[in-house]
Amino acid sequence: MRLGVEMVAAMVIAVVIGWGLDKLFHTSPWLMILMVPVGMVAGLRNLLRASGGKTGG
Amino acid sequence: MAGPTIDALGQFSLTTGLGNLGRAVNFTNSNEAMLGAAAVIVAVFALGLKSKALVPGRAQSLVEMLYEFVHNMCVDTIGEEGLRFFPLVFTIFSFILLGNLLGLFPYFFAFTSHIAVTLALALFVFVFSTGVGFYTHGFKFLKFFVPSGVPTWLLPLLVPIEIISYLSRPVSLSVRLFANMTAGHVMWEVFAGFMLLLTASLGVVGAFASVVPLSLNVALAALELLVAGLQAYVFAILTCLYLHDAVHMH
Repeated sequence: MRLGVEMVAAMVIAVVIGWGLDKLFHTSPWLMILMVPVGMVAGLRNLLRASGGKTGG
Repeated sequence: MAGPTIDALGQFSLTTGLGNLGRAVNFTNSNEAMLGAAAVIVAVFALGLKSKALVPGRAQSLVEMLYEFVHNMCVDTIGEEGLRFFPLVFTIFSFILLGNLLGLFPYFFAFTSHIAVTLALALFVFVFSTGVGFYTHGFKFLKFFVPSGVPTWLLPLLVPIEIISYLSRPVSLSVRLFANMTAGHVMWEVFAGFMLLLTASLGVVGAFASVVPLSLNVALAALELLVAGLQAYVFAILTCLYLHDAVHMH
């Protein structure tokens, strides 16, 4: 439950940011699609951090 | 189909509290529960600290244990300067803990099972810890989003990832608490509904068979007690962790 939420949260934030930027620049849906892999990576990073892995940053 | 049905989500609906006065100002049962939680905290502390004995009695040692628990959490997670944030962390911890625990009682309302409440708490923690970061480090706090020791050409890729990872904190913080509390209460309601359904459809045999969901609910009560404490602890320790990031930037 704890770790699953971390991944989904990053994904949701990334998609919302992409969607908002699309609205702003009228580029739907390209920025949202661009943000999806970024969100995935951020989710994985959250996951690593939450599970106590050592992550340089 | 006639007879009882399972209304698992009805327990979360907001009604008005405090009679006609509450109806006039949209004072809900959720607000009532929040006031109740705050009142219980204040009452327990007033009662526990009344005697100020050197050898604490039961009430006093409960209060002292709670105090020392959060105190140690602050010092261990944030460091010595974490004591500045002790009042905040303690307030958040005790408020959520009491909200979770009071919500376990029948006829009480679990206000932590509403995303509006948990998101408000999480956003406050998020904005506050970001503010602390900028207050302590000035604009150097933005370096928090730049991981050290990576080649420069990777930075345009890594900085958005770090920013999204940072922005997702309030979401995961609030959803975790909300989902745990909601799931527990729904499960209770569903198993309790099974008892009614069994009795309605199978008669006397069903009434005896409903011992099974009843015993499951008893076991769930213990689990929910654990979850209530654990989620309050998780919320508090993540608050400490975010404040640690804001103060130390690593």
